[in-house]
Amino acid sequence: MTPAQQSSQSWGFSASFTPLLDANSIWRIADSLHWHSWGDEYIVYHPLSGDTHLLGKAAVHLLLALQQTTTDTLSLSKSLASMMGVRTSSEFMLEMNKILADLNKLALIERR
Amino acid sequence: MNVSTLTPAELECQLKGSGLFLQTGPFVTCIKTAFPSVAKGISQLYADYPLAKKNGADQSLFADFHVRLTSPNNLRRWFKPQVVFLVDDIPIFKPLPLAQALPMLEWGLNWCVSSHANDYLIIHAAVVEKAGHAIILPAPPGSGKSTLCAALINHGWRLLSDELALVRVSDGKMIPLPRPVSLKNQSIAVIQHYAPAAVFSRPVQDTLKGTIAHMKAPAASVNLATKTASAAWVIFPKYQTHSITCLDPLPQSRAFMRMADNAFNYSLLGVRGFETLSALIGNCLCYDFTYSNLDEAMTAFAALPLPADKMQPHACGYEL
Repeated sequence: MTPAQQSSQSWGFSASFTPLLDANSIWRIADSLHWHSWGDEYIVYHPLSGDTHLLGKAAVHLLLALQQTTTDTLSLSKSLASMMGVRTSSEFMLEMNKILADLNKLALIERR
Repeated sequence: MNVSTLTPAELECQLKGSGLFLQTGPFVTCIKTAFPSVAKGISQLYADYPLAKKNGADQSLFADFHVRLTSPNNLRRWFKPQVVFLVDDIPIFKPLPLAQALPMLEWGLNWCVSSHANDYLIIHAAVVEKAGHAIILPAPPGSGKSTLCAALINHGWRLLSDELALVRVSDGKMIPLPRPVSLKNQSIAVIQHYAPAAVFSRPVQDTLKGTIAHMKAPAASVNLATKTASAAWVIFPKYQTHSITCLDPLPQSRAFMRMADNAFNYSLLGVRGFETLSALIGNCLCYDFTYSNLDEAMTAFAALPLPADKMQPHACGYEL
């Protein structure tokens, strides 16, 4: 087991399934998303896929940041860490990579 | 004019001839059948329902759905008689034993609405109402939804629907579709004991769902079938033997996803489905409800807080 896998298991996921994203990747948000929020959770509807997603606060923070401007992974990590009040540690980066990979897989965001 | 104004002979004559144009909620269904058991079941369960009015100069009758219950054209009619349900003369389901003709009519009518009525967001749920405030009870089969619904409508609540919650897309109102309440297995005896005055169809055994009986909808609910209501609560019921009565608040976002899972046409409606369900959830208090005692359940429902100070959806606009 690699150190990365050891640390990632404390987050409840396996790093072996999390693609490592380039810190310089530029991200943009998908067009025309519809959403509503109640409390800390958000319901997002993607008209192109017809899918509805239940998202947590961290994922929505990334979407909101990308709504403001197209930006790179590093800037997103700083923004998210600031919101959460944590450092951009390797563990944090692994977790954020997973969220970005999930959002990308759901076609809510895409690389520019 | 309603079904009870027809003599049994007149009812059978219409069913065998040009069809019975039955008004249920916003829909008119033209029903044709030669099976006396179905005629008897309609006479019993639909006695209070209006017949459609004739339209225009030619005094024609319009129906949203044209259905027919008949024997399949095969040799089995001579050995083990069956029934087939046709919509526009097209069979929708596989044939069933003739004894299941009346349940098949009910299932077929549900299919007609859930497959075609896309002016509504249609959710697999019971709906009851009191003082203008409706409870939506979405749940999978076996959760005790219909048992709870049957008890509520025998306890002062108005029946809007036992199976299909209709949310009008144009304004979010709950549209009544009061039809007989489908009860299964032990629930039949439970409700017969709980509401001795209720009228039931003859139980039909060995259906795919076990033994089925239908409870007649209260006449007062049928007479108010044009009166819409506003949803105030979304409650996911679950019957659990020997459980204590428990009403647990449920985050609206979670309720949204579960309602969407229970909807027939959420995906088909696209963004209109999303916005309709968002508005509905935003106006409701949402709960998980576990019960085993109907009296305690009635007490819990009578004490439901009104959603006057509920949190509104965060209006961030349509586009993220």
